[in-house]
Amino acid sequence: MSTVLRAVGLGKTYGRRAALDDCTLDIPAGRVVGLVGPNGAGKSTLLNLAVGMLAPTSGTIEVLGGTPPEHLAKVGYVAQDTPTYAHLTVADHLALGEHLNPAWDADLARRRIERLGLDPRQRARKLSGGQRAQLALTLGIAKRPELLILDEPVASLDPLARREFLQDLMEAVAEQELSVILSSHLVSDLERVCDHLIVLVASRVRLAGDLDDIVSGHVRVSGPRDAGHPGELVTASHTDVQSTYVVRYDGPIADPTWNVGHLSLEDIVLAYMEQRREPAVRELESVR
Amino acid sequence: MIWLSWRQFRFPASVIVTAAGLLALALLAVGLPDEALNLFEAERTHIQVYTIATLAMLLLPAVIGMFWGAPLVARELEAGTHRLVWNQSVSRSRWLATKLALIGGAAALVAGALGLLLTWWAEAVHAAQVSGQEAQGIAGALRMEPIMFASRGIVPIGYALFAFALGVTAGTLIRRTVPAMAVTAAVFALVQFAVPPFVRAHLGPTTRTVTVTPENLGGFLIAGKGGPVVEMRVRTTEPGAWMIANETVAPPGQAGFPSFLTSCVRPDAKRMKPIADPACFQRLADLGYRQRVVFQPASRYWTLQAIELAGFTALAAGLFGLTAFWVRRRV
Repeated sequence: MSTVLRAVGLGKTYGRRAALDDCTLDIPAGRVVGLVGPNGAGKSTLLNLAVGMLAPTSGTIEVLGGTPPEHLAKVGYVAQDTPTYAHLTVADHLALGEHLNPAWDADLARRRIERLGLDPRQRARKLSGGQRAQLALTLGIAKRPELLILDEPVASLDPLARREFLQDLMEAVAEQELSVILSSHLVSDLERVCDHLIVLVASRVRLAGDLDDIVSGHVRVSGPRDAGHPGELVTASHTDVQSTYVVRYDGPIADPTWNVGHLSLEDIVLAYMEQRREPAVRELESVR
Repeated sequence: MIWLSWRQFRFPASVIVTAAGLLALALLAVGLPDEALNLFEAERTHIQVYTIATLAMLLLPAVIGMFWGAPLVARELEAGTHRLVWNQSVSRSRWLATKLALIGGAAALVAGALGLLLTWWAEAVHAAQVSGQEAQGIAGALRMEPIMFASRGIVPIGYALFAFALGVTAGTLIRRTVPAMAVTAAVFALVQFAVPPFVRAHLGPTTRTVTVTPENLGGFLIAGKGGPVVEMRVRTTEPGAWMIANETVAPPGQAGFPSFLTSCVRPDAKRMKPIADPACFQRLADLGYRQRVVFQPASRYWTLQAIELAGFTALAAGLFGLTAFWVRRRV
């Protein structure tokens, strides 16, 4: 299977602060990839590196086999806060897309605008947040890219607009067979639409894999305090007599001292996000 | 790309082009001044329109730099729309090149057209000045004089291109429109005032050392009524020149002027003109006093215009290069 994005040891620092650190990733083609992490984890940095808005300070990144922004025409990008030209009308935005993209699908763009009920003469300034996001998405889709990258496209939308936007995105993906990478700090946004997930915490990639594998590959086990645990530890919490671990383990657990619980995707992602606040993790890992 | 550039540029373009058009219309409506123009008694309207047009031409490059140049990149960065437009299929280098070519071309065109129109229109004013007429204010200022030089001819093209490039660069580096506009205006004003004394004055001026005679005497500066002479000036024989330096060279061992000099010139109440005594000036020359004058003769007007046009165009090109680098690598 071909790769849409490959990063090796990718890093980006601002002054002395690392926004992204030693990121190694392989994103297969034909997937809808969710990039999740708390605010400030480096999601936007990674996506900006992928479209060439930023240049890496270390490591390499390849998108569709080229160094960004080499394949500008093949990569669609809906930036954070879905920027549009406030004083240009909806029709102007479509004309912009048409003039600036050789593969522009004017029919598709017009149909989408009609279906969304946007008035072509309306200035972008007067659109609601959801409508603006839809307009930005229309520009990204009608460009007919091979890879569509969306940076927190639904962050500023209300729950209804959020659902509509994601549904709409999925329809477009189904029609056009494109690869998608979208980021969010909410797992619930991604769970519905993604089949591949990357968890980014404190500028590092903590977890990357297909959604099903992730869900089936993590369990919560609890048992007597400090009796150790199977698999690879994600987080641990302790009471006086009992320890509870979230571990990466997909074999059967037969030991009757363990109480095994299933985890939802959100639980797993939250466990990885908690890691950074747990100073004891490293210690426990070395004991394992 | 041209479509988008024009769509975004058409409003700021229409404002400045309309203003420039009105100015041109005013010049044409008033009509060319009479060839035998008398500056002192000239028609008020002619002098007024001339003054306004000259001032407008001095401001035009700064206005272009502030309103066409500074927002070009800064506004995109401020609104975040650079993330939209730089992710279409057009590279940001081409995006920038198209905008610079289109708007820079418009700036050169507007400044060039107005500059040449004013040159043609002001020919009679220039002729009147060269023939020795004097007037107050802008109407009395020679076209070779420091600030006036930039108001017409071909040099406004260079100034407009430079100011535009300055605005674009400031906007790119500062990333905010309003501060970039302020910086553009300040730096441009500084350049406008600095170029005459520090650059133009040194572009091959003519230097002459002459003896002072009643014929070429320009005037004295006297400390108090009947007091000693502090400064003496001469007139150049070449009309319309820009006088850069006009200083008295005292003979070795002498400081200041001899005391008899004050009485060399007596006021003549009848003719409203002072009378100078030739013998007195001969005595001054015999003592070894000479006058050293440095000037740019009127005949070098177009040479200097061409040099400055080339210089400012090169500066603009340098700034465009810096902006292109910054947009590609640093934004």
